[in-house]
Formats: sequence, structure tokens, C-alpha cells
Amino acid sequence: MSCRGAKKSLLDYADGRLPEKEREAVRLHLESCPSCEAAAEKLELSASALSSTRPPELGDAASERILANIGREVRPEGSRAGWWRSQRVLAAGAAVAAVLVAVVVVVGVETSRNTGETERSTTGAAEDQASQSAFKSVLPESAPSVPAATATGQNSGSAAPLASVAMPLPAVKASSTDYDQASLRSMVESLPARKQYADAYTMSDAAVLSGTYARKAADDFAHLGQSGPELEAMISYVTASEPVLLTCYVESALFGGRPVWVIGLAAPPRSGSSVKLSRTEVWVLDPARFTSDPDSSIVFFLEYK
Amino acid sequence: MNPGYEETKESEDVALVRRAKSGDTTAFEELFRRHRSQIYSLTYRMTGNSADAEDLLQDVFLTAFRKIGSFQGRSSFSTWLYRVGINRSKDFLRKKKRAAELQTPDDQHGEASLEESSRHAGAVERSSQPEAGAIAGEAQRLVQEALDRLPEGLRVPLVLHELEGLQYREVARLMRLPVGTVKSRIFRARLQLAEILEPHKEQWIK
Repeated sequence: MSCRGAKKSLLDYADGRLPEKEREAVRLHLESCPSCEAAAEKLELSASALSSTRPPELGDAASERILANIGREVRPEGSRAGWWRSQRVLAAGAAVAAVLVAVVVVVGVETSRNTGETERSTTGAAEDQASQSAFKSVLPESAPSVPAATATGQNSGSAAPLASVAMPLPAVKASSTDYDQASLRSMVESLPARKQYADAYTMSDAAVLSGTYARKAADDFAHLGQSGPELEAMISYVTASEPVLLTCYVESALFGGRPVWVIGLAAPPRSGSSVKLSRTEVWVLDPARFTSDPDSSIVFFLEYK
Repeated sequence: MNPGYEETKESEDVALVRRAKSGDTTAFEELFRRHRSQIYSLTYRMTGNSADAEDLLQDVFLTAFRKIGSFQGRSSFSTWLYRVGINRSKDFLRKKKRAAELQTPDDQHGEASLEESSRHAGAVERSSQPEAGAIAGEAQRLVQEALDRLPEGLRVPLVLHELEGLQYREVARLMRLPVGTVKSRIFRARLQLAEILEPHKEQWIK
């Protein structure tokens, strides 16, 4: 193994994430290379040091103070109550005020102590209403909506609409093509699914269909004799935290002689107002590595904006 | 983390964000409670002391709540909030660096600059004295001080991956960098951290 090869694996080696065979190859290299051995020792030292730290804790008092400060930042001038209390206090305050006002109306005459209480309660409710409406004013007027499907957990698939004839489905294949970076780029550039998905789907569609299309691709992959559940787990891994990525292409192939799975995802632009799925991400992962350590299974990544 | 649990948590966040956008203030409070620890951990690691970390935490949520209308669901709420947290932390570190540069005995920058400088000087002084209550023990203090000395471009991915437990892929998405670049930065950050900690290595390597 060369120093260059060893350095690529050194971090995974120091963190104990290499498969046995590769681990042994790195270990043998370290025995004969003082420079790489020194680097491995540094990585081990930093791993020990970092693992000795505990997550900092935010105390309850500090948390409440910050929440109060946020409320004060957005409350109207002259209001004493913060927005975060308004919903709770509004309900309680309004109920108390209503009861007390009713008592005043019925009885007609109140003792001075009770009148004071009535004034305080109604004033409190009024302030809360004022602070709530003022808080709303800091929100943008035309807030774009969040896709409903993700909110209601429709990624289970059963409620999501299945594709009609006009809607392209993920293309799934098994091949013995041995890609390198250039040939993979060339394949992706001519992929019909990129334009088809950009024309057919929007971000809201992706939010609804992402789970269903991942399962569809996994089913088709299983029919080709590959592991469908593992592909689904892989798609879930590459799309986690990004609910609007739609599987458009899957291929079992080789990359530099190594067996890989190529996953194509249609996505909306990262910024701007367009909601069309005009961006494409292509992930190349090593299925042999994926189960033990997803992060180190990523072989190559491409993005077309 | 259980993927099903994460999925549920994310869809609950989406529902809360929708309520928050329509002006439901209890939804904001709930979002704060759900994400405060995660963001505080980030701001603490980036600032090195609880006073600045709490100020930044407040700033992050205030920014997020004011901009919630622009959140379109292109990423999870948690990722979006992290991104706000990273940007605000970077701003903080840049201001702190600038303030440190302004701190010279023969400062000729006039009254406003002097005032600004002295305000930031307080922050710098506080951050170099991590509190015993927040990070217990000499070893932890040394690690935090070493983190403070890492350049921002290395510190952010290191903190996110090694201390916040995010996977390379998630860090790459947050920082909008290729996964390979993230791995290489973490590699360099780990080497630099070890070099800073080398004189005290007996704390960890017996």
C-alpha cells in the first residue's frame, strides 16, 4: 500500500471502521512508514480527546430566560406579556375575565378587592391578544406552504398517488459497465429521466412520492436479483434530512472495478423560487461497505444544478 | 437513531412549522423546546463558553422564527435550523476575530470603534475561560480550548461530525460541500487538534 492509499483510509483505520482485510493492509503499511504511523497516532489521540467530552447542558433557567427574551424581542411596545405565554394565558385569562365580567354584570356592585382582580384579569387578556397579533406581524405575509404529505406522514406509501402514464418512474437496471468519473458523467448527462422528472414533478410531488418511488425502485431492483431492502435503506440514507428528493435512477454496476450501486435523485434547486425537480444528484455507493459504515460506503458523488 | 423515530419527529416538525407559519405561537415554543439542546450544543462548541453560546442560541431562534416563512421544506426543519446556527456561529467567530485584531494599546480608531472593541474584548475574555459547571474537568477544558484554536473551516465539520454525531453526508449537505471535502477537512482538523493537545496527551493516552 502506498502512503497516498494509506492516508485515504487512515481516518477510518483510527476510528476502527475498516473491514479486517483493509485494516491489515494499513497496519502493515504503518509498520514501515513512520510518517503515516505518526499521523495515525495523532488521529487516535484526537479521537480519545474528543470522546472524553460531554455534551454541554442548557439549564432550565437559562432556557426559560432565552424563551422570554425571544418573546420580548417580538412583542409590541407597552405589552408586558411575551408571545410564548399568550396562547396559554389567553385561554386562561379570557375564561377568568369572562367569569368575572359576568359576576360584575349580575351582582352590579363589587368589593374593591374583587374589582381590582377583574381589572387585572381583563387587562392581562387584552395584553396577550395584543402581543399575539403583533407577533404575527413579524411573520412574512405570504409564507409558502410546507408540503402536506410530509406533515401527515404519507411516506408510508399507501396514501401517496401512484404514477400515471404521464409520470416517469425510476429506471432500474443491473449492468456490468465499469464506470470511471468521466463515463459516469457522460451517462448521467444523457439520462432521459433527468428531463422527464424536471418536466413532470415539483417539490410538493417529491414530498408525497419520495417513499413510494424508493420502494418502487427497491422492488424492481429485487426482481433483478439484487437486495431490495438494502437499496431502500441506502436511498433512505442519502435522502435523510432532505424530504424532497425523488429516486429517478438506480443501477448496479462497477466503478473502477469495484461493485457499486448508482442512485440518481431528482431534486429542486437549493435556493430560488423554482420548485421543479431540475437538479440531479448521483450517489455511487459500495453495498459491501454500506451495512457496517454508510459514511465510508460513498464512492463518488455528482451533482447537476 | 431509529429511522422511523426520526421520520416521525420530522413530520411532527413539519406540522409545527405549518402551525407556526399561520401564527400559532405555541408552535414556536414547541419548536424551541424540541431543538434547543441540539442548537445549544453547536453554539457552545463554536463559542467555547456558556454566555456567548446562550446569546447565540437566542439569536439563532430569533432569526429562524422571523424567517420561518422562507422555509419551504427543501430540507428538514432540523437541518435548516442547523444551517442558521452554523451561519450565525461563523458570523460570531468573524466578529470575535476582528475584535481581537482591534485590541491594540495604541488603538486610533475613534470612540465608536473603541466601544465596539471593548464590547468584543469582553466576549473574548469570557470565551477563554470556559466555565467549570459547563465543562467539567481539565481534559474537557483542554479540548474546548483546542477547538477554539482551529480555523472555522475545520472546526465546523469537526464539531458537527465528531461531537454532534452527524454523518459525513449530513455535514456535506449542511455545509454544501462534497463528501470527500468534508472527510478531508475532518482528517486535517483531527491532526491539528492532536498537535495542539500533544503537550497534554497523558490526559488521554496512558
